[in-house]
Amino acid sequence: MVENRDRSHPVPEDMEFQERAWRAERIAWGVMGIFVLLALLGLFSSGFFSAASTATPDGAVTVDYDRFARKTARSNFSIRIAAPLPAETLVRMSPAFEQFYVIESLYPQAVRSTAGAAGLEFFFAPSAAGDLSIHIAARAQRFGVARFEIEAADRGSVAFTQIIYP
Amino acid sequence: METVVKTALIYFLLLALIRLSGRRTIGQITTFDFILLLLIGGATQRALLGQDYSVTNAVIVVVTLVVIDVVLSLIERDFPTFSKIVNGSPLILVDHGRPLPARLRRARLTEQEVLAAARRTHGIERLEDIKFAILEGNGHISIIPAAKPGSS
Repeated sequence: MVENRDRSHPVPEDMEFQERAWRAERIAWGVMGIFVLLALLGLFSSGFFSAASTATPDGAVTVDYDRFARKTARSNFSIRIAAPLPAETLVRMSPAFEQFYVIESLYPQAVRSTAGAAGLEFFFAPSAAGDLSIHIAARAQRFGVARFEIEAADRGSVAFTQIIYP
Repeated sequence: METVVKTALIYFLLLALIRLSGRRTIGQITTFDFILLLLIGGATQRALLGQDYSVTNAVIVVVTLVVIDVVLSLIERDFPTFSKIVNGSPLILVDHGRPLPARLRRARLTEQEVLAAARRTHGIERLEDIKFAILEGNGHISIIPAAKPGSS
């Protein structure tokens, strides 16, 4: 095709390079389109692919979390523990949690809390019905692949993995 | 340390994105494109500065950006191939009054846009009065008018 030949006047052309650049452009558009689609689906947090839930085999402890989180962004965790529970229910979060996250809000308030080599320990008073539902909003301080474990008194523990993007 | 790495990452990411989005996106800048650029700037600004609004951090970001820019311009000067990859090469769109439709199409331009550039820069009314229309690396359309009959 005559349009494909290089011209040298008034400017030197390189049609072969130009064709390659156009091809690269089109591939990039495809990649960007896929990227937007994945973001819509929640691969970069908050969405269908990101919402996850894990529970102990008997369902006594359930944790809702985001499979994907982002550094400096908030991530929510919900912990539900089935009745009956003692007057002070211990919820322990593995040390990885405080390494990756700074807790910004915790609801309901813990009766008391402490921290040690085993991680963060909160003591909660159960609801009138005897169960417990805890909501944590935390901001990630680091990025990486994090493995968390949340243990609720003598009702068992759940472990889950979260990918925190930079 | 983190700021420098982050700044360099954002610089090259934006460079690649803008380059791969194609020349016409940025070159033929409309009011809306300008707003789009402001939005892109705003979106990346927070990622660059993080939660650190100190003067030190701002200076690190700005100096890193300028240093990368200078280094790239030095590489471009000495390696034409690299320059072509980063900036693109010029492309002739109209040859002696004859538009090259396949090229216009792939560059996502129309004859109307070439004519608009011709009107703006040379007051040219018809395609036949254009000797060459060239899409430059920076996305602008250069027009070389045909010699007027009578003048040599």
